[in-house]
Amino acid sequence: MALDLLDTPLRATWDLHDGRSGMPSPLAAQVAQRLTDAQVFYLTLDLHPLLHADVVDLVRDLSAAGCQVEVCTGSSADELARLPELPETVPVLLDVAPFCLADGLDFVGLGKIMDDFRAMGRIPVFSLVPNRDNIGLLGALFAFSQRAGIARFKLPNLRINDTFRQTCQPFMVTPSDLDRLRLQVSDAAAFRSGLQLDVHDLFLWEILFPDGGTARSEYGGCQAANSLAHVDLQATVHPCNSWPHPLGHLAVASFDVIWSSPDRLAIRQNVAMQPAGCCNCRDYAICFGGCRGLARELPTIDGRDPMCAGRR
Amino acid sequence: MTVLKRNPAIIWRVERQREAEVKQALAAGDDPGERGTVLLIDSGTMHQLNLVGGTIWQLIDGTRTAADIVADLAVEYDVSQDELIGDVEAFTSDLLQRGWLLHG
Repeated sequence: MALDLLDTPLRATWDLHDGRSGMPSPLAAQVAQRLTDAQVFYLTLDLHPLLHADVVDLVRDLSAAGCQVEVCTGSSADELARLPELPETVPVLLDVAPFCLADGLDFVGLGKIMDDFRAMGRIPVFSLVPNRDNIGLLGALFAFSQRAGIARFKLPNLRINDTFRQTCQPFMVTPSDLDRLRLQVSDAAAFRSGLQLDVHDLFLWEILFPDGGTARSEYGGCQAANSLAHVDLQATVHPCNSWPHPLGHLAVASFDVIWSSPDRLAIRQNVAMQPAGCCNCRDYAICFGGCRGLARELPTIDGRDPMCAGRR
Repeated sequence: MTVLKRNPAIIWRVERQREAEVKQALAAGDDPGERGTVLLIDSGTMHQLNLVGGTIWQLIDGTRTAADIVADLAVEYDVSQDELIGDVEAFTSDLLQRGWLLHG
């Protein structure tokens, strides 16, 4: 069953603290209330929410309202010190990108952070935004995860911010990178090492789950500004964190209002348009053009998803 | 007959716009397909209920028996209760088996 058009998003990412500054407390409380009112099912507190003074109260309130909250964290001492305050039922997503080095995985560092988590009675979810530098380490990371008792591994989408073109574009995974990964994955089930994988990107998912599966049975194309939303540090709502486009501000409008706005509907109409580069592609009915945010932000051939190798 | 209630662990919401669109399609004699009007999550997995299932789900509020639900549904859709009894029973049995519903 398709998911167009929803009254409010089902999933949201929220930048409560970016590592340098946090959302002011009154505004954060208001955003949490907006998310609760919108009955958002799944919320990821992105970047460094454990550095925010109110994170524990916010997580508790949102969880009590039925929202399934995940909390991202880096490996700083300040963040880890807050972990014991979080309810044990809340998944903690550890960013393992800093442990992916040019010459391989930092096994010592990963082992130490796992010891820190175990000492607090927790097992993290590993999280890695794939890029050109780290995608070749997925196999080693999955194998490490299995040995370390990690059950779940998340591969989120690439975030885009104001400096994206200057800082991130060179690191964007290309179809050639995916081809090299495909060569590594001769036995996908073995490669996955028994992990529960959450894979945002469709073309990466195809490699890791070549036999398909039920995980994407309801995938109806890019869900930006439909089931998906992103709330930035200023409480501005965007279609998703790969698609920076201010749709409204939660200090002045609810998700209901923002999701009813002409701007939001224009985004969905944009998503529904078949990119020229996808015409006559046999798999368009499966991918629906893939990530429309990245295709918009990164000038691509005929509007295709930048990870797409071409018409099939 | 005992009342039925929703399992409080199930998080759900009504999609008002879609519900209205499906009702409009039905009123116009069009086939609305299987568009979900109630979304719910159970153990992290999202499910959708179509218009009739969603209506039954909303009627299961802890005060009604299955017979009450049939009676209310018959009024809502302007059909005889006899036409509904079997479907409502099958639907609620399925949801009881899934653990989404509980006997009150």
